[in-house]
Amino acid sequence: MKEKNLAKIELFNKRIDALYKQICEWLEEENVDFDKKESGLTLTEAPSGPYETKRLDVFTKDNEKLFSIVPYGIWIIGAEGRVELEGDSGEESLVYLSAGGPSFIMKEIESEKENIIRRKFNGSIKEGWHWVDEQIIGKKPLLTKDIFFALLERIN
Amino acid sequence: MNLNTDYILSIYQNYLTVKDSIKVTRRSFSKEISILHNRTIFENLKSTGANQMLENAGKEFSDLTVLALFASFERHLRDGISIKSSKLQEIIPTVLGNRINELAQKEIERWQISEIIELFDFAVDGNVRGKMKQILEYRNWIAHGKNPGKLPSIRNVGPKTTYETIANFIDQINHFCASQVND
Repeated sequence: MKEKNLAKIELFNKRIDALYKQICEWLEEENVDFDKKESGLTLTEAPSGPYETKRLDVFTKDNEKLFSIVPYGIWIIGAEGRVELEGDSGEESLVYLSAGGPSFIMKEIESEKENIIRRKFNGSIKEGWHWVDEQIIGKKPLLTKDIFFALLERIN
Repeated sequence: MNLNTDYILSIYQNYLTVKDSIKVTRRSFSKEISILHNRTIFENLKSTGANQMLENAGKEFSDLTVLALFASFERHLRDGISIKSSKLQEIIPTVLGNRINELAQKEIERWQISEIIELFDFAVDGNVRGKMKQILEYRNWIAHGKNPGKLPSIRNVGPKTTYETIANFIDQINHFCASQVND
């Protein structure tokens, strides 16, 4: 495997580790009594071929599944990786975005007003895991504790 | 050239409706409301089996939505170019103009979509054109039977990315055309 791809996989796995750690901290902060299980997962993508990563499954103390986070891929349009947050009734996508401006920029911004509105609306992207809100005007807000708990309700 | 996004909006709304319908059905299993499953394919199914079926159906529908969005976008783009090209009919003598136009209309249907995307480089930025071509690659992979031995360079392109990229592509064309009219 090419060195460049190996570095990408390593970085993706580090970011996943950080995400799992952060989510477990949020659960603890909210006094959720839970058990977790991390297990290996092999993904295959065209640029890299097969590679190893890991999924996270979280259960209540009654052994009822609360949610899973399953890596989906690294080579994703407009993002540097994607994982799925899965529950009993559905999934929501989380993507890793690097710092910078919005991914869609009109060629010409006509006025300062338009510039402010567009920046405000799209947001100045902060590096980290973002939720892909699939609603028509939905954006990709940074994953916060509040958003995470709202998503748990959506997927269950 | 004024392209509208109503047709892709409608496809995307249908996708969201089906996605939530799947969610509601899955909830009917987790809440054990089995009466809702009477006289459907879910009758007498266990929660695990039904969930797997619904998850698979959701993934398949998501891919089909990418296909439908792209196909619809491609049709509208070709139609838009076709209307523009009908100016060829104005060539004198008219009989020649009409024949050139007829040939051109047939030819437009044969143009590669990747070339059509590049045709708009004067209006649409490279980032969006690049994304469109990646979606095209994924769309081709779906349309040709999702060959596991020949994965696309970018995988798991979702309907949202496809919808947003197409809408942005069209917005940029319309924005450029409007600026030409205003000048």
